[in-house]
Amino acid sequence: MRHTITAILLTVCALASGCASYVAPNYSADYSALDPLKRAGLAKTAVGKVQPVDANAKVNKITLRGATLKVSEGTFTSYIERAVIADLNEAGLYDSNSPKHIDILLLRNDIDVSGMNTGLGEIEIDLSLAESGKILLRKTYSAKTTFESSFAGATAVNKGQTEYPNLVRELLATVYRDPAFVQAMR
Amino acid sequence: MQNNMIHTNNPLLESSNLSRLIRNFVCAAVTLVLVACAHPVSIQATKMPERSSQTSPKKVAYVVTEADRKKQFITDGGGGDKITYYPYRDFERSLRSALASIYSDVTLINSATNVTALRESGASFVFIPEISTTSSSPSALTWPPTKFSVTVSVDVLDPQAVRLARLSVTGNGAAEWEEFKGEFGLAGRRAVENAAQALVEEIQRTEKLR
Repeated sequence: MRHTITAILLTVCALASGCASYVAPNYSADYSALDPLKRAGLAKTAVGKVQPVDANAKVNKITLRGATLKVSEGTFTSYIERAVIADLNEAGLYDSNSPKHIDILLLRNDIDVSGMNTGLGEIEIDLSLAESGKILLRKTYSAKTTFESSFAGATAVNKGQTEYPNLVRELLATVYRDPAFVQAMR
Repeated sequence: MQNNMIHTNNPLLESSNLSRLIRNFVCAAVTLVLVACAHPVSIQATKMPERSSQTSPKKVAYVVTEADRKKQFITDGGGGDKITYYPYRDFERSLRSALASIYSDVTLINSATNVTALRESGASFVFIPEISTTSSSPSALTWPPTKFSVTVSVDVLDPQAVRLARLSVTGNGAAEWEEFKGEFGLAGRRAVENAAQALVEEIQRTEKLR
């Protein structure tokens, strides 16, 4: 009987989540954190290495109840790279030829929708800002988000899918609001 | 109480109760999965309005508050399901791009009456958007919307908070099941992209905003 129950539950879960892959929506900045950088008199910066580039690295894989979360182009690290470049461009602070550059190592990257009521997003990066071989800043930044999840797999997976840009927004807003980052950008 | 005691002592009746329990559980689960779904989608644009060749040297500000960004809209999908989304949060980047395609600088401020923020931004105009949406799908079997509309009404104020103009544009978007490929808010995204482009054209048509 126990096997029957397990089989039924697994069938329901499979029906609910499906085996499809889902695409994370585009990133948009927290402009309340980004706009002050425009007026802070900062130097233009390039974006150097954003790692790991390996698509099979653990941080470049997110599953939502068995369904794969992808980005429209590249990996989650390239998603973050594009987000940072877009933000620096928006603030008028991006110059791909600048001797000053930001390097990022993605340490943790996950959306967890296994809970019936609450989902959890977690991300952590090691960010360094360097110029001509001199490290101006090296710091770990992280962000966590919680969001409403659902027993129904189809709904929980969609909620996890739409949460990813919020998680990255939260992380980068934390970076832009950090006085140490602003100081190193001068 | 008495019935419970009898069932507990009778293995056949206990098994029957367990079967009924499982049946009810599965029915509830399937009902939840198939009926009670409000699916979250993103309607954020991929394509932004392009910067005009003749931008105005004027600076502008816009107001989208944190409360606006948290406003969740619930509208119709297909198959009796609903969809949920955050139009202010998803439209903000398009709004900025629309304004940046016309004016030299765009800044977010938290209130049209925030005198300090207005002075710091140097804005000549303040844009305050109000968004309404509709969505639908004729499908009885699939939930993503195939038709979507986004109406953006914008009050434009001068730095003294005097209204100069009220603009209103609507963007429509459509998408078929074959096109979704994991992007279930596609019709909404297209509606947002159309609305942003329509807003650019509406601002350019309004003489007071040059």
